[in-house]
Amino acid sequence: MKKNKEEYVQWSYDIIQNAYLNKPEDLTPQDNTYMNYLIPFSYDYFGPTNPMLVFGGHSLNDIPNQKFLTIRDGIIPTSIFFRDISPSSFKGEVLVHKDLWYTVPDAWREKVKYFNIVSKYQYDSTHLPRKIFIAGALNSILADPDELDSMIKELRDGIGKENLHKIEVFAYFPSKRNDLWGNWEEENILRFSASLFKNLKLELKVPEWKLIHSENDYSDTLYYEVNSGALIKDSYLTHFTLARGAGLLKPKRKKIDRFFSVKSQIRLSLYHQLDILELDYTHLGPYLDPKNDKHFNYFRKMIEASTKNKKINFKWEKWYATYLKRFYRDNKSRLME
Amino acid sequence: MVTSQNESTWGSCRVISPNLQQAYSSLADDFKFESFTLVQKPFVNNIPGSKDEFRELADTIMASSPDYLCFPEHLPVPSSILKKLKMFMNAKDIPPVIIHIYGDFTYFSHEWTLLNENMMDHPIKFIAASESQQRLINFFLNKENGQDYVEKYLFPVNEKEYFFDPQERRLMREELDISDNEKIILYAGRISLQKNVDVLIKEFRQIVNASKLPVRLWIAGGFDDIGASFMGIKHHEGFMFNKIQKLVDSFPEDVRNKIHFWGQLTKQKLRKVKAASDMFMSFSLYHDEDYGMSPAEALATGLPTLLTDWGGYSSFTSPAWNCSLVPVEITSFGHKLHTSVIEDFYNSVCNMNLTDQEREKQAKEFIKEFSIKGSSHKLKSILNSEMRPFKGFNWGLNHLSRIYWSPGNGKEINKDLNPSDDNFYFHVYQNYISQKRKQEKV
Repeated sequence: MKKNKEEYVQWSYDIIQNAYLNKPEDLTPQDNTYMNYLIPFSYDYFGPTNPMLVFGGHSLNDIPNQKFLTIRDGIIPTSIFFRDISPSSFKGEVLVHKDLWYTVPDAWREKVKYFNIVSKYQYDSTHLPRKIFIAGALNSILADPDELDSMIKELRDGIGKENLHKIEVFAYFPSKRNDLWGNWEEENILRFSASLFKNLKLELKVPEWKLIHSENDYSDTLYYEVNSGALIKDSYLTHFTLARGAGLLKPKRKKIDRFFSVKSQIRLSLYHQLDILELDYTHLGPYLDPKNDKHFNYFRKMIEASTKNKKINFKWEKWYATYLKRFYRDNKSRLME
Repeated sequence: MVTSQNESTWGSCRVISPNLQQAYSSLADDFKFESFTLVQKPFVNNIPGSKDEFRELADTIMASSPDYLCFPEHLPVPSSILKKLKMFMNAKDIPPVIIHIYGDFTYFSHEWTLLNENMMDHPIKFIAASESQQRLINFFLNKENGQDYVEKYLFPVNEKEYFFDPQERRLMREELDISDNEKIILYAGRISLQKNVDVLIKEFRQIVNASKLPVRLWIAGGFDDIGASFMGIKHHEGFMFNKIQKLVDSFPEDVRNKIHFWGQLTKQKLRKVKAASDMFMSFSLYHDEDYGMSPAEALATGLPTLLTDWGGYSSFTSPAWNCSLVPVEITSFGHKLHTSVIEDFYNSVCNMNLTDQEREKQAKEFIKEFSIKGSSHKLKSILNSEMRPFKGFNWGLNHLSRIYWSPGNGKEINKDLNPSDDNFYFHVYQNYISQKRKQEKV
């Protein structure tokens, strides 16, 4: 037996491994606003596929040699990313959430794979959780009133209204003022709240963030996020709760699902993983470019002007974001089929 | 007894505080206890005729004139409560104070310094949860005539929840198809940076290679990414899982298959897992590990236990049960663990081959000293011991709180708070290493 063995413990080396996610110090005010606006959903998490919010100030120059870039952003920032960045600037692969496959332009298709978050536990009316943790933002940034209503109904139907009284429900809906990228919808907190109470139940617990974040055991808990995916698709809270034992609502199978095939799986915790998928485009229609829409032509001159004047550029992005949201909503049925 | 309505956000404190209060309740023949629960009442000062929780506490103290004011919980920090209490009553009307100090003493150092402003010369009894913590608190206290005045009372274990049941051991091992000669090494607790589970996993690989008997490693508990923010080491969510997973994946398949992660377990399930195991190992260097509830619960199930000579862990050794220590040093290259003892400990436990009766005996010996009931006589003698006036915290606590809570701390590596033998860290945390080794070093 070897004697006098010693082991030095030097935790500071871990910083180096964890460092690639560090954002540059000189974030623009817009980047900061965006990141802060989406807290806690926008907090960073660690993963071998470089998960990041590309619209949150990460410098794309920092990652040219990475094998993967996982875009956590939602429909609008992802769409803007593909508008602005050329596929030739990446050596590796870009991962996009599978629900956003329609934002990927033809020129990018070779470089893009898709991801899906899969939890060990899945719940429906036949397999009920002990608790439901429902989170989101009570404004149109993460879901406008109609979207919220339909998502809460999805949750209610998935679990069964008759089962809700057996389950403890706790909710976390941080209040956000609707001042990012213009007024998409009229704020109406009462309407949001009514939807929660009407569709679920009145006895909701509303813990503070401090308690939610210090809890290490979410076993037997269904995590459900009210999130239209307009700004962020892959949220920190999903990973935080799933890594501590929570499960997701059993997903309904969509038509597009049959064209996805799982290529690899990456474990992110004991309880959840990232499935990396490939999409067979042969049966799908051509990419629907938002800039080719008839409504878009009115604003071509604004784009040209925006390249010369920063002030106009910011206003233009605000408008473009609103335009994209409407474009994807109006074309939802065409894109999903 | 002043308690809080809010449950602690720390898992171990949610166990410790109720156990401690039960220990106090078991002294009902000798002491009469009255409880006051602090219920947060924000904005109440704006409502005419309403009282806030601290005014209510002051009124309760004035009305019932207790002999002692006792703080058995870690939050709110007692120094802050006492500061607010002084807004409503004179210091001379505040009875002598008994404070149980928890591991977060250093973390909340900026709040503890408030005692200097508010309670100087007031009779205060500090009770630490281990010898190491006792040394650490004494390091920060001004002494009267050079005398230390911090008491030691190790947090009790609930004997109704943790005990050894041979039947549970047999059933669990049968269920998992574990042969009689197969040895199981257990770690239970958070899988966090400072808990050094990666060190255990690396050592396990060497044990597998050297062991004549089949052996498995069980790891029970959830991952967390708290890191060591006070040193400037922060992680993102999911980092620890990735780090441990990568380490395990680097092993050959036959070693990999012997490592099992149980995840979060209920108390009942954890007791069964402990019963089915053969030894417990934890190489934690956690700041601030003032006690160690998880090893205490392992010892309560009679498990031979190997722990780092660090913080509260050092207090668990005794000839009456099997607990050994891995020597620790603070060097200019960080913490040094003398890991030779690990394989020796493993071999000695294998050779010992404890019978159920022997293990039950060890569990009972531990429980006799550490159970809520068993430890009550110690608590009684501490309560009856002399009260000394508080002479203030020294410059050290002020200095610690300044560097701990400076605006930049946590954002980058802090040279004063990183493990080294030539900085302020060493002065504070050498107290966490048992006295014997410290003398050797000197």
